[in-house]
Amino acid sequence: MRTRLQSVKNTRRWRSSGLVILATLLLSACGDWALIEQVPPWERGQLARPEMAWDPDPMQAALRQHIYFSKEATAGAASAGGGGCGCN
Amino acid sequence: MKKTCSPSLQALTAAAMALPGFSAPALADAPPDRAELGYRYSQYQEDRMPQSQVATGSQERYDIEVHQFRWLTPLGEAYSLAATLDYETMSGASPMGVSQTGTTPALVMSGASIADKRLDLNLKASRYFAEGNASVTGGVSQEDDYDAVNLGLEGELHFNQKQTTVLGGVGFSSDSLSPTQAPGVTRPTEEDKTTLTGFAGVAQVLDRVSVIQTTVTLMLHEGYLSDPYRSYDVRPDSRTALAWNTRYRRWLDAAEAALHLDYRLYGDDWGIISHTLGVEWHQNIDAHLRLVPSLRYYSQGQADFYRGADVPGLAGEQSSDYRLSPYGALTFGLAAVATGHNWRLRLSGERYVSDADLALGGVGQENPGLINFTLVSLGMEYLY
Amino acid sequence: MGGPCSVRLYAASAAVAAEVAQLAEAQVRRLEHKYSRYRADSVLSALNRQAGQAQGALVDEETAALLDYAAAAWEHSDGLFDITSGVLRRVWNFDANRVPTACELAAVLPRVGWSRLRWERPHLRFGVPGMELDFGGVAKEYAADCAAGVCRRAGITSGLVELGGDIALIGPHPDGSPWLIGIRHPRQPETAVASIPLWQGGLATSGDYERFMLVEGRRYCHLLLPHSGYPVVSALAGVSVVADSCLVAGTAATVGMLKGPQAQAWLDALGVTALLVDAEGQPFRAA
Repeated sequence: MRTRLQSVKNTRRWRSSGLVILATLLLSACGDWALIEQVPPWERGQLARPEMAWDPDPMQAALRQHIYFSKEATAGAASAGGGGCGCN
Repeated sequence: MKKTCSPSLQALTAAAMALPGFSAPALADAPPDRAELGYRYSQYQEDRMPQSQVATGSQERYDIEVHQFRWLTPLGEAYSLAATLDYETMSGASPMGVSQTGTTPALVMSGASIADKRLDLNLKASRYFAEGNASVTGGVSQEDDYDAVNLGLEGELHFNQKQTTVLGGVGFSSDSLSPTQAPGVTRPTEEDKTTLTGFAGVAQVLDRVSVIQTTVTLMLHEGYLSDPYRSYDVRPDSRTALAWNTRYRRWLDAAEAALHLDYRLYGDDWGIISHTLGVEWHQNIDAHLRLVPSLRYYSQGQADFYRGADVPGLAGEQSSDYRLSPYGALTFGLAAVATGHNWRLRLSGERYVSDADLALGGVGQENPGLINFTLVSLGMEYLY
Repeated sequence: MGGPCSVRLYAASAAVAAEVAQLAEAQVRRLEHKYSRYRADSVLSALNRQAGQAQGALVDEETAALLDYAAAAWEHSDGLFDITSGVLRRVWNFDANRVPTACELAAVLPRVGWSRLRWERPHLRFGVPGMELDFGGVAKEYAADCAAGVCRRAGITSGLVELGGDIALIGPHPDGSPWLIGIRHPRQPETAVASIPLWQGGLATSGDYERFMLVEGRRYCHLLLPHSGYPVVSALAGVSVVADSCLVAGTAATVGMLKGPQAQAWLDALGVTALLVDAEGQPFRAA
């Protein structure tokens, strides 16, 4: 097995960026709460439109995710499914 | 005096009950009301490398043909099943390394054309509750030199009359590599890696036309994470990554269009930080046609152990893979969606261009392996 | 919306009652605003403008459901319930006391008819230029049902919503007894000809007295037949219907009036409880 060469400096940098991410997330969550208004269910017709979906074209989304996963260094989405491939 | 209810009265009552203001609105999660069968054919083509960037081997990069099949069906009142099958055939050459000849680095490409195919089957079974839904996912992916199995569990919980949704999930993938051996090259024979993924987030209806979702995904990779086809590629045997995704959707009444904004911030313990910003505009042209121009910007920093060129004999980690180099990329896309009573037809084209100059912050030396590609797809869906 | 509007409900305290009544009122105002044909900024006005254009109009969920309902009502009323017939009011001016000429009618009739609409949810287009939708026959009744629904969702179990004579029940009195709804005399507004007990659902009335004119001794009421463009002529002066909802009751009452002499037979076949009265306030019998 390979030895792991992880410098102390890198670990620290990683931790601090993690903190920044979490702090920004919390801030944005607070912002959301201040922004929202009560929207009755029958006024959500526009939100239910197909083009308003998170992924209006699931096959295209899957293909894009697969390509970017294999051609770029970084990936990660709000899903638990999907696995690796030899392309990366 | 109660009278018998005629078919006409039943029809009127049913139509009235479908109105959103009636008694308890249908807020409970439900499976899709129609089944869907889809097929999509895509052609992915990477640009040929200029001679100046290739030290030895082929100037050709990858060409991939993809056939995607998708079947989504409700099962009774509370379940649904989605199955996707992808079949890919690849051909072309891939970089084995980067050599420093003179002042500029150049690619060492594999000589003969590589041909491979990949079969990927994924299933997702979902159960719908009054306050949310839960899904089990599972899949297998198979190639000549690579096998992967994945399992996952994810779900959503709605609050505040479905105005707020909390979502989360965990996933596991177990991969095994058995690289194709070539004469005169020493490659690993059998290697494994595992990936654990966990995500959690919130989606919020902001007003009657906009909604936002923000999620954090944690990924833990363990095992053989190097590229077995590169001559000098030694990477750490673990990688911890965090991705923060924020997605925003807004409907614009006046334009009859939907705006999509997606942003992802990514960081990992290999030292890579990346930003991805996606914009899509879903414009309704008439009752049956929608045009979707899109733009994606991507920028990544380099891995700590990235080297602009291979250093034979160096102890420890190194990789000259362009994917670990600093660069930026733009994707321009245009899609057309035609919709009928029970069918959809989709035609789309995308152009991906990557360049060190597109990266956020300066890049000293661009990796010669950066790719540009064109992706063209034709998809059709039948609803029943 | 014309006519008296009231919300009557039982609540734990006056404050709760006021709060819930306010929610119900907001709901009614929202729908009035949305479906008013008098407001240029209403959803209905925008729909009428856009549906006349070549590319048609994109319809929101709620309006789409109302259009689906209107389609069902048209289909099950032999075409008598038609939300495109409002355009006939262009030539029937009940304030001017003048009967339109055959020529004038012939000019607007081609713009009337549900079958001339291209309704493919969520897209609506007028098949003939100059068509118009009028939600007069559905919006008020639907608003009453919505307001009652708002009260129920706020936890109220006893009460009713009345919009211009049409009623949607929240629920019976706390002791389970019905609300007694008085049915007015067609010619003497202050007199009731009957009272109908109501536990749930809705009650709506259609009468020839809401708008009418007398020209040369003849009475012309506002209930226009979409096929001929003329007001219905019969001795039937008012129809009150009880149904599961105020909306369905309203549709049945309107169609009953338009059916004229066949009203009783049609309402019986539909399977609703109805009260039919003639101009004297007596039970109506087909001649």
